Amino acid sequence: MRHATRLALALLLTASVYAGCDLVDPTGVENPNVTEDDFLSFPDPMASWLRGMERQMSLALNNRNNDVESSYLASAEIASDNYVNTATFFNQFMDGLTFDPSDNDLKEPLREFHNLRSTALFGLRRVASADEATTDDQRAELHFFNGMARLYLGEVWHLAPADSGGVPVPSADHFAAAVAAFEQALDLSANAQKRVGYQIALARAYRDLGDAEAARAAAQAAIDSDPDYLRFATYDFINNPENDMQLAIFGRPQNDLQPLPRLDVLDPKFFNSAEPNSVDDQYADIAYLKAEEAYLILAETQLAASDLDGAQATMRDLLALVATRPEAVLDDGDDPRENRDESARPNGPSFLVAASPGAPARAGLVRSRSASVPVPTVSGTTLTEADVNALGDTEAALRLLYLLRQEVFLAEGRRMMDLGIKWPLPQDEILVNANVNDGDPSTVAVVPDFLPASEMDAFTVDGNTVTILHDLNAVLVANKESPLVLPFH
Amino acid sequence: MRRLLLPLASLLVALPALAQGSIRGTVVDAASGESVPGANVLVQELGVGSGTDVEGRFEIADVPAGTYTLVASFLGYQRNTSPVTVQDGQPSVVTISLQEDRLGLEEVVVTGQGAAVQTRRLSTTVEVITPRQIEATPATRLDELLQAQLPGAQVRFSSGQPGTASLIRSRGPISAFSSTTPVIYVDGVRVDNLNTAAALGIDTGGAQSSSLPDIPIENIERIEFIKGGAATTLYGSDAANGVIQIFTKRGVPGATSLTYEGQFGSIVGTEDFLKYDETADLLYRAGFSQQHRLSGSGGAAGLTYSFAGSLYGDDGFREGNRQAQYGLRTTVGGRVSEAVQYSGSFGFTALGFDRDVNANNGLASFGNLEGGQEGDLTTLDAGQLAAIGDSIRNVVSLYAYTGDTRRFQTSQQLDLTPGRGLTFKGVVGLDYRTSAEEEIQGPAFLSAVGLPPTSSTLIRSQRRFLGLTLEATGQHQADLGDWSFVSTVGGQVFRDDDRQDALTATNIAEGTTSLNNAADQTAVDFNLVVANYGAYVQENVGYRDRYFIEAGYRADANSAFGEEIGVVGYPKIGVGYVLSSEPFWDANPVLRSIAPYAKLRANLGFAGKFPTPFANDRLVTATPFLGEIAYTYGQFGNPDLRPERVRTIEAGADLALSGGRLGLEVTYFNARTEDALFTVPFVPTSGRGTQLFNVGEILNTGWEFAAQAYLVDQRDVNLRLNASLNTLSNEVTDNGGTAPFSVGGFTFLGQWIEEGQPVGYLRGDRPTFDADGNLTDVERDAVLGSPLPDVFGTLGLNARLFSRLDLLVSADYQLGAQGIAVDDVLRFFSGVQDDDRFPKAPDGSTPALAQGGFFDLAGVWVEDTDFLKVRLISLGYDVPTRWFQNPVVRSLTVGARVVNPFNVVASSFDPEVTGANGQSGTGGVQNGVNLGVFGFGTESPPRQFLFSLKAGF
Repeated sequence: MRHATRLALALLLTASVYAGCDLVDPTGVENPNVTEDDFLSFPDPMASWLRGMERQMSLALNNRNNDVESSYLASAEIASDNYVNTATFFNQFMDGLTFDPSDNDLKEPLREFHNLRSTALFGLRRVASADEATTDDQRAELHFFNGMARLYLGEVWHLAPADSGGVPVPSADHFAAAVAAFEQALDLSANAQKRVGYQIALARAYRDLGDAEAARAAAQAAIDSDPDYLRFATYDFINNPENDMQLAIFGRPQNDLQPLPRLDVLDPKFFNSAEPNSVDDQYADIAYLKAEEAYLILAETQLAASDLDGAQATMRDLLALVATRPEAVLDDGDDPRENRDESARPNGPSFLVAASPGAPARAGLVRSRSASVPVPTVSGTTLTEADVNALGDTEAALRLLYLLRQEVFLAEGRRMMDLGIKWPLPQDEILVNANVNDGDPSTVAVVPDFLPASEMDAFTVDGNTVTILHDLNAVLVANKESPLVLPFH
Repeated sequence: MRRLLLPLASLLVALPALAQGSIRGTVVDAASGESVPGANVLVQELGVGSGTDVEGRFEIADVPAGTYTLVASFLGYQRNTSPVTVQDGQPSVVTISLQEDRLGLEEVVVTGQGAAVQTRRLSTTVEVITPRQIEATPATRLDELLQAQLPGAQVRFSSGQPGTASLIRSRGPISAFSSTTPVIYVDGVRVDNLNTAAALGIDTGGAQSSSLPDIPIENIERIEFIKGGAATTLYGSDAANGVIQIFTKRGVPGATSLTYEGQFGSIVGTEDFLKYDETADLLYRAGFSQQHRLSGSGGAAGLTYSFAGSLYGDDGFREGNRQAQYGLRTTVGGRVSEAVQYSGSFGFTALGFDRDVNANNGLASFGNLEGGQEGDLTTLDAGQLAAIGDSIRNVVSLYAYTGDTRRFQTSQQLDLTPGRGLTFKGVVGLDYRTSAEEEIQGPAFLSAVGLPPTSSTLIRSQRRFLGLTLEATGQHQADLGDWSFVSTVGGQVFRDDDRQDALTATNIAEGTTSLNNAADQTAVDFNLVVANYGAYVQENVGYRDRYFIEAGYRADANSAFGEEIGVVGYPKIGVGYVLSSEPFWDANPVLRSIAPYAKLRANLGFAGKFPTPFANDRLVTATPFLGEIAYTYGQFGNPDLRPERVRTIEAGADLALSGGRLGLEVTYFNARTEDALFTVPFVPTSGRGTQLFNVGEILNTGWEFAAQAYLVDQRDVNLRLNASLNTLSNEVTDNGGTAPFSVGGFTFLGQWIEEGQPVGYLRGDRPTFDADGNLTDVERDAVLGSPLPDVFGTLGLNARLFSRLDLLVSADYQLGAQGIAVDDVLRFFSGVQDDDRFPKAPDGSTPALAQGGFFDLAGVWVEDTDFLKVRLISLGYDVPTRWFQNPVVRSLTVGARVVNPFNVVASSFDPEVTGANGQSGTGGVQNGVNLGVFGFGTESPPRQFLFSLKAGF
């Protein structure tokens, strides 16, 4: 009897505890974030995926990775004559045209442009099939972003894999893929505005391929559709991504990147008045596709065809367009322009600048920023119709055209491409990608031997006269037959 | 879960039968004859027993007539076993003498065993901090106590500013993805041990807030530390870095005794490592520190209690620092029935502090002075220095960084002793910690440092941590002639719930402490939840009380594992051989006098470390963009994500030599981390970032020597030296085909993971100079050093003179590691680098400065970081009662202590103050790799001169 009572008690208690386990289950855990499967089951995932693509485009140009400054724009501008890095925060090697695969700043841009590519393809393959409401306009956008990724892969690297861990292919293959992608976008899209951007991108890809005729046609089509077209990569102080180039040329107290004095009056293209609000954010946005490019390509095809008059007319149209672009007012109170050794850089209107030794010293290229001054936020130029009208031959016109490109694209990561510089694949790609081995051509940078590697940003100051040691636009035109530069020659 | 509780429920109803007769008596110290309160007396055959009261008395009622083995034990004493005969209806009266176990060779431990087991039976080692050691250490936080007293681990502080993180490391980094901080238990309950930056914590420049400073440490009785390997196998996927277990005082029956302790003194900045004496003149000023602590304990038969409360405050050693801490701890114990004992422990801490910005931050007062932002301070005249001082004091007074933590921790334990060698233990407990950090850079502050006031910010970072522990253990002890068995089964569940918010207000009103008074407000959050549940079984078999073999197995499931991973198993096996218990040894007087105790041990065991929670899931990233939500690629996910498994082989010996005057512990370990978790970077052309994969292998090997020597052991003079020496060799033996990757530091000089190198080795460019000081060559991405010491250890001295005067000195050291003089890199940018940093040309110039950028020159800033630091000198004097003749005051002790009195270092910077945030140097990753390498811009732990008064009532 006693055993039976104890057994019954034991059973009762066991049952009670067993039931209580439903009230206390400390093992259940739920991830508060969004899984891929959940996302694909959301209503209308394509629209939000495309917003993600826009954001990725901004990141690809300008990503800060884990607090390490690895943005494409800042590195590419340092690697040109546009900017010199006067401090320690950004890349330390590229000013001297040293491109070592172990340099982390070479890695992140490759990752980000490939992220743009693979995100676009994921959209086309997975998101589009999960979202029956996907429109042709949306598919066109995905093709466009895929094309932009391939465009940059061809422009920044001379040999780069087209997909994850793939065999490196030459730039021309990427450009051809970009052309195909943009043409697919044009085929699919009924959005008149977006189509202008696709045309400009297509013109750029054809220019990269050296196909003057196709480039001209696309550029002309863009101009005909919308002569002042703009498409922006957008940045956001509050919620990210931030424009790292803005940090480099303005945001940090010492303004780490300083422009070539020849371009000083156009800097900083991206800035803020330290009051992060929506008005200021627009000075961070980057017009990565703009009608100016169509004019520049058109003029370049005209010069390639020895049509100086036509090119001059196009350049005048371009100047007129640039004059209509917005300007913001900058008051950089402490105006901190210093060299590496903390000596002052030219920082006032009293300085005259000669583009090269022996060239005339011009006024108006350097100014003080301690008073409110206008700054072009989309495109700017120091050139005038008179400069264009004075052109006597195509060589001079080419030099002027490349100066125009330099000024219009300042701080947009394009000058390095015009100079014919191409990056090597980074160390992580070499170590992990079975198709890339140390010492392969893809692991070595391409730097034209006519570039003055150690004097890209060099200038002398004599009294108030600043003399830039090398006019690289003249150098480019003098070497126009090189396959690395001036694609139509 | 249900399976786990069922056996326990069944056992709860297996109530014991009642017995007749009784045993009563007293437990005394064999040397002094004084009573031993709180000792345990157990009738071995019946498994019933009692604790002694304040007079050392005990009584065990209802014992059937017969002959039994009475086992008496108490912390710090050797176990005493003696026969006793109980006659029907008659009380048996006994006096039991306990011998002090000075070398700790025979003591009873719990940590790593599930239930209490004698160390004699173990194949592993346990380090114990005794009540006396705790009493002699004026610690206000747990890691200070560990630093002063733990021989087998390094404890280093990342900053002298209050509330900051430390680095705790014993057998080297077993992981390349997480910190080396051991798991910490208080009274059997796992507590928050985050000792790096929190995910959304505020980075004040290298000084990260930590959860360790506010672990309630009132009323600690004892601390046990096990270092990993087989010792931690029963903790499963959690404890590969080791386990620290804190036991609080339980109280003993008898009249209530009260103790008040007051401690007062001065806290001053350590100037040993300053580049400029002027920095101290401008920034440091002596502060006042005080602590008041009241504790008591007592109880009646069947009920004991112990409590303590403390108040601590200091106003820091420099401008902008302040700290206040309040602690409470109560432990109650009561006998529910003959077989059931309850104990509950409750602890509460409140900690508040102010800090200043550190390190390479434009706003850092200390970092700017030492980093040369104000130029070479030695060249400035008094007027210039005064102006800088005024400016700094103004800026520091306008800046606000405050920390505010509240923490409640409790452990509820039921012990069931149904007899026949059976004991059961059930523990439920929680640790709830809320912390808020707030940084205000108001308009006036920004104006003072030359920044636009409209970019003023108020950032509030809040973290709420709830840790829940459930544990049930059953143990059976049996002696069958020559054979003895200790069988243990148990199950454990813990759950961590970590929720963080970071709230930012921008362009704020001057003087506001509310987020509401601002132009913009944003918020982000961070959640991390993990549940770990497992069961274990362990058998310890002894033969003739000298041959022991133990084997155990733990099975674990964890919510952080990938979906393809089910239960993970951790086996262990070990042997122990008490050579000195052999008859031939015992019979040989020479052997017996040379080595009264000698034990050999060896084991093989696995321990684990679970991956970052939620790292297993494949995600998309959803972010705000242009006022809408945008989705992009997110975490790749890993369905095969599993814990790191550390396979440790250990062998060693425990010896008492020279008639017991010298204790020596020697251990060799070989700990191989299999399935090491690497944050693997995908091939860049995949477009993906990183993902945790179990692809690596890391090997740590070393020898551990710990010695205690009683140099003088007289009644009036007692002098003990202790020393430890630990060697360490660490290597990433397999990188699993991944590219080398950085785990911290800077682009010019980082910490990397690469096959064939130690975890977090220093990689950067190494310059070569010719005899004229010219830069002749630069080796790119060279191996510049290791953050890990080849040798480290502690030195200590304890002396007791005339049974009244106690002296304690403790020190620690390391050899063979390297660190980086980041302050001098900053001085280099200001043109005031150390004079001997670069070789000189014959004309005294420094040509290299113009020949290389700081990337090329990186190697010159790597220095050896050997050090010997004396952490504590403590002097205490027991005032003879005849001097104060007071009926209320039972005892009076006065003391004087100096904290951090002496430093001898090889480097130009403090090698200890080298960062402790996860992935140090570049922001921080919660619980990320922390190796302590970058010596930059923060103050060393301060020097303290303290006087104490302790009175017993």
